Amino acid sequence: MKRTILAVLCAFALLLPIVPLAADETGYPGLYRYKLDNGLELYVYRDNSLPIARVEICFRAGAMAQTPDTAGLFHLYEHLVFGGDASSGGSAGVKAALATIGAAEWNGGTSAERVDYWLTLPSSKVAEGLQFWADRLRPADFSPADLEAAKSVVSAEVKAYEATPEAIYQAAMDKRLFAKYPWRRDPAGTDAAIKAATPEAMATIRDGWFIPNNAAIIVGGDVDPETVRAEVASAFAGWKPGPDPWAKPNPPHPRPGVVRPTWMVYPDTSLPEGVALVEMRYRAPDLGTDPKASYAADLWTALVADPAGRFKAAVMKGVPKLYGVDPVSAYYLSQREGGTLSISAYFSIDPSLPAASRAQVFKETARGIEITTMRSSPSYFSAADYEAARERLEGARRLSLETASAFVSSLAWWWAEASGDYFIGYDSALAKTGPADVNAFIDSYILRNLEVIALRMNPADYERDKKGLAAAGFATVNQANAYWWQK
Amino acid sequence: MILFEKKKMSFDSSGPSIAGRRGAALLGAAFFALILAAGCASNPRGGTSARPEARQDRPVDVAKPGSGQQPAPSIEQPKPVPMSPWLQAALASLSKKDLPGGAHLVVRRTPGRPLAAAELCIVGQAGSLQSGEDGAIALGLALLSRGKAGDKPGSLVHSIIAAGGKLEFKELSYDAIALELVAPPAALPGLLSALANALADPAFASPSFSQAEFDAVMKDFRIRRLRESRDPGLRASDRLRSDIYRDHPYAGQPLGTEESLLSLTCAQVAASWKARVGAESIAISVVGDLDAEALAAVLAPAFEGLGTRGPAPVPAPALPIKDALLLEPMPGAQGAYIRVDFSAPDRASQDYAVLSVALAMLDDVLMEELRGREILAYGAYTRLSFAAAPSASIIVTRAASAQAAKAGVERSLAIVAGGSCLALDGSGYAPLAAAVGSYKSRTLARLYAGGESAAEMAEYLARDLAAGGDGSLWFRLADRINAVKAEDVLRLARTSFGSTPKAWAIAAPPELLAPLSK
Repeated sequence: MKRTILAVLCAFALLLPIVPLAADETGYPGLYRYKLDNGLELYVYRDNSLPIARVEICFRAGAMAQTPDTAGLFHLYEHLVFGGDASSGGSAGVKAALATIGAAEWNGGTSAERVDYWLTLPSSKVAEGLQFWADRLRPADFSPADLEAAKSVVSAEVKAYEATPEAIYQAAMDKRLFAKYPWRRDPAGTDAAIKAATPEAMATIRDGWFIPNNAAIIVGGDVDPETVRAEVASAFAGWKPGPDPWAKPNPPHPRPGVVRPTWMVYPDTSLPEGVALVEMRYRAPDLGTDPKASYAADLWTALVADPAGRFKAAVMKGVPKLYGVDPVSAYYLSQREGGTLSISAYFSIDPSLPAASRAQVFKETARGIEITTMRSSPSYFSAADYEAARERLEGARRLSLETASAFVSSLAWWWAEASGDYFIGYDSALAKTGPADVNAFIDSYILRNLEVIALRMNPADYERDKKGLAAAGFATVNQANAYWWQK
Repeated sequence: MILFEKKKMSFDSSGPSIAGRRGAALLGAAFFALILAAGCASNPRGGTSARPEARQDRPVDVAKPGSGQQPAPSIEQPKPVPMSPWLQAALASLSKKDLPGGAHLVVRRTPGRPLAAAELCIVGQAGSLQSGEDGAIALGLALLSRGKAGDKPGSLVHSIIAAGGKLEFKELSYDAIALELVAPPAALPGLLSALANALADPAFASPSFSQAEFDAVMKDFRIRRLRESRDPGLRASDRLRSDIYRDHPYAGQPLGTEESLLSLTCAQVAASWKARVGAESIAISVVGDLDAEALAAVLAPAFEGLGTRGPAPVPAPALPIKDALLLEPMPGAQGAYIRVDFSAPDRASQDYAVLSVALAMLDDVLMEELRGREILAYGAYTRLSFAAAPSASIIVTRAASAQAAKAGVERSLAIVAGGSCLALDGSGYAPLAAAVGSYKSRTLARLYAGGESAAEMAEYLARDLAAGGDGSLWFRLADRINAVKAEDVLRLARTSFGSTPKAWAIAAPPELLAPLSK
């Protein structure tokens, strides 16, 4: 009897920390939100269409929490969580644990502004899936052997990654656009930092950022929210909070990101001969400091995305020999502190039209003429254009949230980059965003901003044009100079 | 272990989703999307493989009808399996309709879902193309995005975008290429009907079709092909196709080659289309909150107009894969890419489900042997094709030593063939019988996870139609996996992973291949 009473008391104690909010308070059909008193946020999304569920745990961490000396250690930590320890039988033990719970897919990810872990499993095994992550994420000492093994894996992974054309190009962009704190955009970090990592350094990272009050758990699929709430309480209630790692915000990345328009060219082996990409990239609204402008940025990119719209038609007319069906794109990457806006186009290489001048014409046409006209002419976009843009955004959101897995993954993204409230209130905030907000966005983030203008072209095409590119001030990017830790 | 910024999940103004390796968004920005996708790391640990696959890189189908080579004997005939309530409900949601001219329509009704998807497939064309026609039918299918003759240029695409939808070209298998349309249920019938109407009277066959429009679509196609030629996975796949399956009609190049695409004219595409694309070669799968009867009525006029061009295509018979080691030099490649193919049981057999469970076990053993004590490769996983003549594949990516990785794969095969798999207590390897229940759960979860979205589900239905099925195989597999027994896994692992011939294709820098060529 004593044991029974104790069990009941324990269960009651475990449930006490939960402060449930009513389902309708999220304002999102099927989405429930809770919070443990250790600060851990829980979102449960109910979708009974298939007998599976996705469990994701997300931290506001990654490159944005790095210093030059710790660049790469969040990624290393992410690996250590999978690396295993003696009690669980090492990495074979992790695989075995995942097999036991029928996990279909699982992984972890480290990016500029978040670290997350997820798995998909039969919905009947959600409790076990939560316990799996709780076991992996609870504070534990890192054995030197585990750490050395993880360093070896991460070092090899980073070296391979850093040799890829996409990594080189993005690193060169970040090196220019985020020149003051480039390590806060680079989760791969430096080999030196990874090799120098000690168990104590990893424990500092664990205790500083991998804490419940800097985390959210999102569960979606064929689940009962109240049951999941109890399971999370059982698995995670003993997890101790720590000081808020973001109590003192990072100093912002400067905007403009560059002090003058900056030109670069990357001889890119991933591009076939005959086709090149020109891109203008700007520092754009940060969700952490200017969320209002982020809605305008989304709306603006949806406005200019219209394939039959005035902007694309003008760019296609003004820039000779663009390539493909719809070669012009605009893309706003929403980030907590590293938002960027990209306007780009593909064009056909033509020896009679030097690439440098094509890039200049693109900039002049897109920014100098069209975006300037867009700002000064109230009729550039009609009310119908705004309506169509909102519908495009709504369609894109519908596509991105179609399945339970996609919903969980999206919500984890938005929670880390902004907040659960941002995600839930997005439609309402977007509905309130109009031409005045878009104009303010254009002023602040394009017309009063400075950009990096980049060309990507096949090395053979580059060789034929390199003298002209150098004369026009294009710096040539390669693997030996792209990264922030290189000269 | 994904290491950098993912593309954000929503609010992407570029409209179409990121195009897959075998697909291309047709609503614009396709190439840009491909470049964004190129940086994404593959998942070395995440098990995404042993489910019957919806996204394989160039499935290898084997056997040429009439080639004189005999189909692989099915290891076991189908067994009757009691139908679960889930399967009963799933089958009740499925309707198959015959459209005029022999086209097939399968609809899975999913009440309340906010999106619907359709695959408009052309089946069984790859083997019939003549020299110089490579890529013509696929290009024609992609050009359907420009609508039917008389349409305002781009109007169909604009309608899809306006409805919040997307359109992609896909190579489903060597049996089938498809246009995948995703849209809200209210908009999908009209948009699908517009595409179907374009089948009979495509804009690109009209004299007024502009060369610029043709060039733009062709260029996107050609770029995709050029990029594929740099992909070690596709190079290995092509090598298997040309060397191991060269007598099979699927050894052709349905998506064209750099050369064939360069030489194809709009008139040639139109002529090939007219000669080869009839209602008998069309299969449509639809998933969404839609009524099959009403949809069939909407689509019927288009197929009456299209008519037939010949007999219905015959699904390819199986062909045993022979032992082989093919080395494909790729200077500058990041490590070695290894692909091992072997014949799989007939899709309708219980052994097909058994193999899917055995492959899930093999996945973990591969990871342990190739990334456990020593890091021999970045990733290792298995795949099971959904095609008429199914094969299983083992894939190893970015191996530092092709020789060591090959040995690791051989060790892994021997471990499971010998009746062991990863011990569930983390103690190494143990007899696999005790783990069958867990791996069945995993296989089932993978099966479901692969069909979560309307488009994924429609793709499964379409693959089954293309392979001569009725669209229900994906649903039936769930019950079959549930019925798998340990003794069946033991038996099949012994044969499939042991004695069954294996064809290896390794794409790698020459220095990594040198030790293997001795």
